[in-house]
Amino acid sequence: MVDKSDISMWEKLRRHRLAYYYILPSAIVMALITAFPIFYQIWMAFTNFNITNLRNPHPDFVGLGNFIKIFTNKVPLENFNFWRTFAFDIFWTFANVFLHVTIGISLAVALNTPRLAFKKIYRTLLVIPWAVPSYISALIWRNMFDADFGAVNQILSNILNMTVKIPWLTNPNAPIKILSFLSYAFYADLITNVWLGFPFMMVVATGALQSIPNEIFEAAEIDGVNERGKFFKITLPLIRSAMLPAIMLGIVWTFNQFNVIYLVSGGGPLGTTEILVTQAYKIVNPGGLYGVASAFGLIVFFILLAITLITNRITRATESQI
Amino acid sequence: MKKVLLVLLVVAMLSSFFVGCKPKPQPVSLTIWHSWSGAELDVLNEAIAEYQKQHPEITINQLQVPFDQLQNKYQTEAAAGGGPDILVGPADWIGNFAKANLIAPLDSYFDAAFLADYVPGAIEQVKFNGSMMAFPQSTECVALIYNKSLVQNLPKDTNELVTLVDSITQGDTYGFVYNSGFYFTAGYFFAAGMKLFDANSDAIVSQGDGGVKALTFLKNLASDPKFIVANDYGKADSMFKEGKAAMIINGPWAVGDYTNALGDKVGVAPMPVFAETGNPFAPFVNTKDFFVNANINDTQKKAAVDFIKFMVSKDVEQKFFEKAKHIPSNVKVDTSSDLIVGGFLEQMKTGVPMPIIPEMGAVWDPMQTAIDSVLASKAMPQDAINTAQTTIQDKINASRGQ
Repeated sequence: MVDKSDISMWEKLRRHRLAYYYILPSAIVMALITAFPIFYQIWMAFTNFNITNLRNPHPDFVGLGNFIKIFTNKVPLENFNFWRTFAFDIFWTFANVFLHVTIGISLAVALNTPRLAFKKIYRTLLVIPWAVPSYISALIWRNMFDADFGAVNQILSNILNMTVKIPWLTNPNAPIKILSFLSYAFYADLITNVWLGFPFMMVVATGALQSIPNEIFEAAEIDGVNERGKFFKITLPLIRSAMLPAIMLGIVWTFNQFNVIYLVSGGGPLGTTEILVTQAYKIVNPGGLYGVASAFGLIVFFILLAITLITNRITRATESQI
Repeated sequence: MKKVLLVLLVVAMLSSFFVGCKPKPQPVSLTIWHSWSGAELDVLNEAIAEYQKQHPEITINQLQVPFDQLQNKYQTEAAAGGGPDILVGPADWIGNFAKANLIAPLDSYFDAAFLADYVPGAIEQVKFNGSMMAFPQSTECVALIYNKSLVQNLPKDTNELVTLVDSITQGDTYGFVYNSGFYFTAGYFFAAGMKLFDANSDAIVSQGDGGVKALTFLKNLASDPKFIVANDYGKADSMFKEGKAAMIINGPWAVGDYTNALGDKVGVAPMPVFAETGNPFAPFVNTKDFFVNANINDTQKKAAVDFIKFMVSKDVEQKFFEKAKHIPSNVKVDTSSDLIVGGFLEQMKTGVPMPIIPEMGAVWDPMQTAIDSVLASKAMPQDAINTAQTTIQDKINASRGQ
């Protein structure tokens, strides 16, 4: 049985030889630029590879030492705490996606009002945050959060008619005492990323809303359903199938939102807003601990793999329902 | 037969390309990475233009990299076999670079007669394990830079400093925008009695109470609303230029821009004495150096060294001194009658030489974290300095492969 399938496999290869010749160049390139680095990294994860090994790649094998160092927070780097970073990353992801989705759907519903004046202008304006490259927005927001000269504090000062000096990016303490693990910088990052993230959800929701036939709403009106009922009983269930994949995508994006975290708060102050990808970057640069960083990268990979498998299952479940 | 003819024809055609090639000066292109800006960058560009005029076959490309990224950028690229031909950076990078074999030893390129023109201390600092690993361009340390129209009498010690600042700060003008970066404020740590390394180059920052005293001092400054204490170079820099900061801590590289902005109102003096111990501010005294990449071939190296020799010649260093206030490494540069440089030279007398051992690289971030966490009331001074000690020693052990 096994032999037979082997032969047929070989047969298949032989019969479609020409096809394999065609993909050979790209296969070689893929092997060089994708597969090789991955296997190299897996090897590095089990060694004490550091800056001196870049020229002389013969580091010592350390077994699971790097993983143990990471899980016990023994990485020689200031403010390193894997579990805090992991928990923060999850909180960060859900806080963001929740706000993206609620703001996105609210705006989409509001702009879906029939015969609303200047609808197109509103839509265009609201999509602008998405159209600007995110690192540029992030850098602008970072400057706006400056405690002394930033626009945010100055606008607040004018509105409240008093001097507002919120230390957005410099104070590692928590402004809200119950959420003591969230420094001021978390809110700065959150505001920036919500501003960047809601247009995507709005666009998806708008598309889904326009596919709902108007007859359903008319029928509901005849049955005497009020506006609230229409939203929760008709609109939400009908856009759910379109929103769920977008939400899954949003979760993965936000979990790895390097640009906003790195450029707005830089993971600081004192590591309070570090997420996994920015921490991985810092282990290499300035840390120079390539072995530990490889191990860290593998851990992040398995976390993301788990998230993807879970979200895939949820998405498939909803698909089969409809 | 046809094929043979075709091949012959092609060979003949190709060889015709090489007709007319005769030896002439090979065009050389040199790349230099630095973090100079403002007046220093202008002088660099002038110098490059001048050098290219003298040596038309040489093209020099300069790339400005922000200082906080330059070391890592060079380290990563040079370790992978690339990087620029020449790098400009402080001497404390030597240890790590030399250990990872990223910079070329320069002993064979400079003879004793050439070296005789340079400050002996500066030449001494760039030696690692007996080899000269860089060439000093200027010496530097931080000192008190003040605006003469806001500060009349200089404070003698830190107590007087606080009284003075409290009387100057008004509205959006601040008496002191204090840079709490470890490089800038290290002088008070050493004045308080802290030491970095023991004889085996192991960390000893938590020995004695020097670190605690200095951190407590910084915390007291930060709790005074008349001070701005922040690890924010850009803010101190721009506020001083706008005349909104009466005093800051900074080094000679910045003074060129300050005199452009404020004219002769800029003064430089040693920082006030640390009142608690009575010791003077003891900043790191460092050289800014030219490094030559270890990856480049001998022709490139020779060209690079030739350019470096031009950059440290009397004329170019004179320009760096006049326009950008660099304190020259070349003793032939005439610096007399310059009060600003005098202020830095005065401060250097109480300074400590910057260690260039690789272990120094492990000190910066943990010490900064100690300062930041104390200023943010996240840690008590004693705990902060203990954490710093552990992290520094862990980093040192990791870099030694232990």
